[in-house]
Amino acid sequence: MSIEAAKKRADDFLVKAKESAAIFSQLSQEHVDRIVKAVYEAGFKNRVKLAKMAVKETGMGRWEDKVIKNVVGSLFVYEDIKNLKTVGILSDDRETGIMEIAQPIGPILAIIPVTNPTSTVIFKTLIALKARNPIIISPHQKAIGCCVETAKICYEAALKEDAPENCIQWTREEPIDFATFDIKDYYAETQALMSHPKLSLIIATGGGGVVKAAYTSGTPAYGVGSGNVPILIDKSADISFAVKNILISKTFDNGTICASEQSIVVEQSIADAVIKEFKAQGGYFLSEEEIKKVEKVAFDREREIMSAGVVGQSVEKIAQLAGINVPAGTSVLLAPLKGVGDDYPLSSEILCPILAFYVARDFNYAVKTCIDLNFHGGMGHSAGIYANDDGVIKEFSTEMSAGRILVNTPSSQGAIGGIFNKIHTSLTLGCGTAGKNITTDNITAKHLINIQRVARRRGNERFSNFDANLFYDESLSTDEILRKFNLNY
Amino acid sequence: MSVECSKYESGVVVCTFSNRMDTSKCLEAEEDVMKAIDGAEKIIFNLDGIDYIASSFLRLCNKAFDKVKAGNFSMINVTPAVKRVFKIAGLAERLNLSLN
Repeated sequence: MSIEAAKKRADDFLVKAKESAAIFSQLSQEHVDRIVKAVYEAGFKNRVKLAKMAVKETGMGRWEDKVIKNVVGSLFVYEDIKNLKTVGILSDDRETGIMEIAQPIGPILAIIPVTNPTSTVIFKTLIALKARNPIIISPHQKAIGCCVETAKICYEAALKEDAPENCIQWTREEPIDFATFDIKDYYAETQALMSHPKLSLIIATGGGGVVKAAYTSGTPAYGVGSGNVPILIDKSADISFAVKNILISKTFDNGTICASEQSIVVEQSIADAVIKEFKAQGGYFLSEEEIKKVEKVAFDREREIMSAGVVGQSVEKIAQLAGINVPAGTSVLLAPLKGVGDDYPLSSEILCPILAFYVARDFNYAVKTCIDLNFHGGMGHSAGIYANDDGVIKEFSTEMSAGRILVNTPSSQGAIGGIFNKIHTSLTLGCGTAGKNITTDNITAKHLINIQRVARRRGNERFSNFDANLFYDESLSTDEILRKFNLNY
Repeated sequence: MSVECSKYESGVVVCTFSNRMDTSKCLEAEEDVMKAIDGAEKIIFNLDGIDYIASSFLRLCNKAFDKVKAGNFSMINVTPAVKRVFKIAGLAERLNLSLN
């Protein structure tokens, strides 16, 4: 596809989206809320069908866990945003004289990842519509079928509540035939959409390449960063509880959530107890020789990232790929490592049931190991700690560069909110400037409105009573000016 | 009745819409409008008092615009709220709204 053809295609989408945005801008809060409720209900109703479609098409994860993701993307997101005011006057403070008015931002392009496709479509659609913005769904090339089906279900439900036409669009109708399709065309299409002048915002959830493309497109964007989540088990932790929760999280959808645990760090004094507990709960500790075999299949040395072939795969599949034997019923593979960095591939982010395992001689060394892991590709994302000592929790949290620090909580489900804590439910996790994002927030509907501030006149008494000419007098010291400025105040 | 159309000998057709032009009202009006503007030289949509328009009203405007020569379609008495909708949609200039 030529660049001109890609631009023309993008233009067709954006002309419709812009018209939809115009109509959307007139809708009342009550009308918007009816649309959002209908879309959530439709997504929720189809949670199982869409989960199975996603697993079948992508070959990643477990359908049962994808169902839970769809529940999070529909029900939990809806519950989180349903009472949020996104239309009209948000606040009016007579004392400051400031009134805040919500305005929609306009057409949004939603980049959908292969790891959480249908749930992310429902989630992004709900938050976009709640803020009166049309959305264009751009699925990962390997998840087109399930994403389009999800988008259609949402659109049909929205139209039944008299939503604006084209408030939900999708960039393809049918899955790509990879035998005949040039993937460069796909990138060209996405690029043309991202840089289209009528597009207001991109919400880019996916790998580093697509997020960077979004940020460099010239259109405002919310992106995500890569994770490399360290988990510290402190000696004050309930070890059995900690291991159980880590396994609940790391095995969830075969580890496809970017907030899932990547490394476990324990102090020497409790190491034996933790190892024993992991073994009792189905963890398998790899030998040095097995680690080398697993590294080869789990990490792409050339590209310095995890291998796509293991993402979202089961322990059995990974063991088979690596040519190792693990006991039946093994839940995760644990790799005891001596260091962090390029010489230790399993210390990097790998979205499947593999955990690096570190023993540190004391708490300080444990925190320092977590810092190394955090800075090895996971800055700004998430970290976790199991402890029953608030001082330890605060000390750990202060040292981490992470948007979310999960305490005594499975990090996969904890980071996305709504299940184990009260942070906003989201499938797009901001990683702050450390992760090259603009915010550490969990992205939700409140990020998709422009807030106008009507500023009524409220005089600054000190300025009114002050002779402003004194500001021009260089012979006066700052103290002298301030004394006069603050006189009788 | 969501629209009343008047034909003049000069070939001018004025369609006056009323109240809220939501999807059902637009569907109701479309047939009358298309019949009335058939063969018209100049079309004027009077939107006095209209405070809401649906997607289908934009489509109706575009259809009417395509029926006459460039410059011979216009809208009058557009409320600020509706003018804003046409500006956001990028249709204000095309549909001759700029001076309203």
